[in-house]
Amino acid sequence: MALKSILIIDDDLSILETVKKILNLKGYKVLTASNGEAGLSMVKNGNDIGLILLDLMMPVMDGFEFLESRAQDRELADIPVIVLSAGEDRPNAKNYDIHKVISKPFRFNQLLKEIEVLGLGN
Amino acid sequence: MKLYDQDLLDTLTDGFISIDKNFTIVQVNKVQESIAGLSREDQIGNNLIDLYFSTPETKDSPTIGIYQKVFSQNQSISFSEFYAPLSTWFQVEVHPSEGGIYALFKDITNKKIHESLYREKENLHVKYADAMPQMAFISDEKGNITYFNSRHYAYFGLAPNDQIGWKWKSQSMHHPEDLERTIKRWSHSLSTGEDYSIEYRLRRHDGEFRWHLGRAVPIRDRNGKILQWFGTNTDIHENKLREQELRQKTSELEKQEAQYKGIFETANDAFMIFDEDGILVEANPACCNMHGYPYEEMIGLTGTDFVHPGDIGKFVKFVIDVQNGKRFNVSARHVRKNGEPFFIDVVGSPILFGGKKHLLAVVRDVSEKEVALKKERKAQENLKNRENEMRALANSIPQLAWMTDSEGWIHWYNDRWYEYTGTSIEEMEGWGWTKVHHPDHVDKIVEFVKDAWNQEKPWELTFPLRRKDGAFRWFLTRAIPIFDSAGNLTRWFGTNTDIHEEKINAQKLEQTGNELKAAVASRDEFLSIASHELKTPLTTLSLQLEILGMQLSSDTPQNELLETVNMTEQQVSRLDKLVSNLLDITRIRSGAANPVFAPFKLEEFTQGIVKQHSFSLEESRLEVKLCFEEEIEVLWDRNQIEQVFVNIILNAGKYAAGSELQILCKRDESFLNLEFKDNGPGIAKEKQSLIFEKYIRATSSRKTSGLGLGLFITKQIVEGHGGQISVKSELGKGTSFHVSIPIRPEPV
Repeated sequence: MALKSILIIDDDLSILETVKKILNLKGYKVLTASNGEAGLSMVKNGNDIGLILLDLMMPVMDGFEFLESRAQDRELADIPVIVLSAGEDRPNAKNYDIHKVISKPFRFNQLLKEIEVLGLGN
Repeated sequence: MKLYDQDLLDTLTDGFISIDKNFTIVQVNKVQESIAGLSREDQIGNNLIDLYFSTPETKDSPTIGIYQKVFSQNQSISFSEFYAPLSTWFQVEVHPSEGGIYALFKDITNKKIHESLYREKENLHVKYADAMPQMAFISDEKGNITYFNSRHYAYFGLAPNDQIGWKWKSQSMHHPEDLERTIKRWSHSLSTGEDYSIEYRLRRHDGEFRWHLGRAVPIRDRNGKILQWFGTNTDIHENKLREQELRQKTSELEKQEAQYKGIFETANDAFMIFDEDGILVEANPACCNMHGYPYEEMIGLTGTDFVHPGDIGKFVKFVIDVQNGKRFNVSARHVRKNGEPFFIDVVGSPILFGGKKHLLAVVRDVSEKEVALKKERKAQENLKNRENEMRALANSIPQLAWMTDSEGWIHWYNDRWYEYTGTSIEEMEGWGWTKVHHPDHVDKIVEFVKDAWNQEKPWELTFPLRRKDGAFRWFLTRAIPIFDSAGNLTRWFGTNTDIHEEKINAQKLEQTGNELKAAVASRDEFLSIASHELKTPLTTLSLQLEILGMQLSSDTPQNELLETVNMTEQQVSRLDKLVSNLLDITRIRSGAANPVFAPFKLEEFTQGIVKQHSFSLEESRLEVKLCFEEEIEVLWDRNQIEQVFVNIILNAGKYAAGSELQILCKRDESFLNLEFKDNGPGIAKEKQSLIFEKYIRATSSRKTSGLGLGLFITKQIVEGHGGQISVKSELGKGTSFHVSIPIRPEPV
């Protein structure tokens, strides 16, 4: 079975670049999107995504709006989400069926542990 | 000769007399005595012929012969006879009796007259009627006129026989108002036989209605049956008019008299009528009550009895003046029977009383009025004193003060009011005070005060009042209602205390408090945003260091290691920029951002900025177009202006991603006008005014990164160059920022 991709949605290019790089180093397939709307189209375009890493503050469609859309969409709702947030304003994990909220800045191991918990390990 | 029972004879209604064969009177009854005018003693035993039939006018009477016939034939005879000495017709029945005769007789004179009248009817009446000075008529027993005399026809101007029968009813002979009454009355007489008598108006041939007395008497036959009516119409017009006039005059006089009497009896003023010696001859009840005397004692008094000794001279003058026909008018004192003096007003005038010259005095007791007046005067004086004291007091207080009447009409201000407002009482009276109120407050105050006047309770209110120099100062106004002893609101007393300093301090304090609160809130928000902004590069930095660690332990090629180190350096410089930005804000806030002006070419400068940020602009798919009319050398602070351009351009990239940004530059004399115009989503109206504030982002804060300080700093820089920045935007159509800066600003 082919390994599922991890989709990173964040408006900060350096974050996208760095997280992609480190996950690639660990052998994960990574897709990136710079806002919620781009992320949604990635899912719709038939990419086999096993996990979404979601930033909250983004232009066009922010993380909260993305979570709202996800709640309305069965296909999307099945994909686990880990929120990576730098702010204090964060969604209630239970309400949005979020696997975990990880505060920025974080240690890579923190993230890796959660990815493994979700069974996406190699 | 037989004697009849005397009692029986006395009850007869006819006269009775009996004689023997010698004509000696034997018996008479009461009726006979009365007719004959002689007592029975004077008659009985006397000879009838000697007594009654011996005068020249009686000695040839047939009566004696008839009596002798009754004697000789011994049978009753009945006859009637005119007895001249009594001018009376008698019906006589003579009957034989034992040893004599007796006669029963009664007076039939009326009957006889009627009969004779009847016998001679037409001729006699007509003759009589025509000779009369009045109008006359004759009717049959049913009221049908059979005859009018010639005067009648002459009066009405009619041809003879025109009104025979009942024709008169329909010939407007009577006044319309009298006709019905006349018919009724005439019919009444016809049905009852009563004499007819009525006053009515009859129309003369010339149309004039004249009053007449109509009269008619029935003419009867011997049995009393009405045969005819004989009537007359007598002109009573002049009499009637005089009578009417008289009646009217009398009734007027009676009415006047009743009125005068009424006035006299019921007046509250005393009416005193004196004779020419000053003796009271008539007084009304009010006079007696006023002086405390019963009527009987009052009459006959003179001035010295009821005029106050101090005013007796006035009484003498009254008598003299009024005797001379003058009117007299004076205030004086009278004394009651109990010795109590009282004040009066008196009017004297001559009057005819009982046909003689008298003096009339109409006297009014004014003692109550006098006392009330004194009290009133005293009260007024007290009030005035009190008011003067109050005003003196009010003028000495440091506040402005005023008084109103009970309706809230201000009629007095203290001197301090006029000093402060520089106004006059004419301007301020009543509701004039609104002139010195602030237009923003006056309506509310008027509403409040109108309500307060009705409440009758003390009130206070704070509002600004205009000083004579036009400045408004805040005053605390207090007003208390003042009541009289009966509890009626008589006035309001109010003061205005200058509380301007206190009010301004309080306002300042409140403002400072609000500012502090806002500052704390924005500082909190800033810290929250700043921490978020700092955390992003920190995250990257930390992850890249981890990558570097991983690469170092996994034999990674040199160039990859360098790349990672490069990226860490980028993040460090990003953090550095963020921190500088924060320092800039702090500097601008503390006024340390003094621009350093140096010349540079603007178009070239702008192209450099666009090139420098091409990566970021490509990312946000923002196409930037420069439209400079000419290359212009400006004398600005290059670093600060770079911040301005970068902020606006990158904002467009952030908020108007995927659209086009035009930068237009146009010189306007000494100014340079720059326009940054995108066709992005636009900014809502309500947010446009906020975007130059600190920490504000026009769109939802979650969608953009950045401190929210960009435009705040931009504005500070533009203004630091003596320029202006503004925004125009419409949702869905785009946003344009206008920046206008002097090409060579004055050095600060």
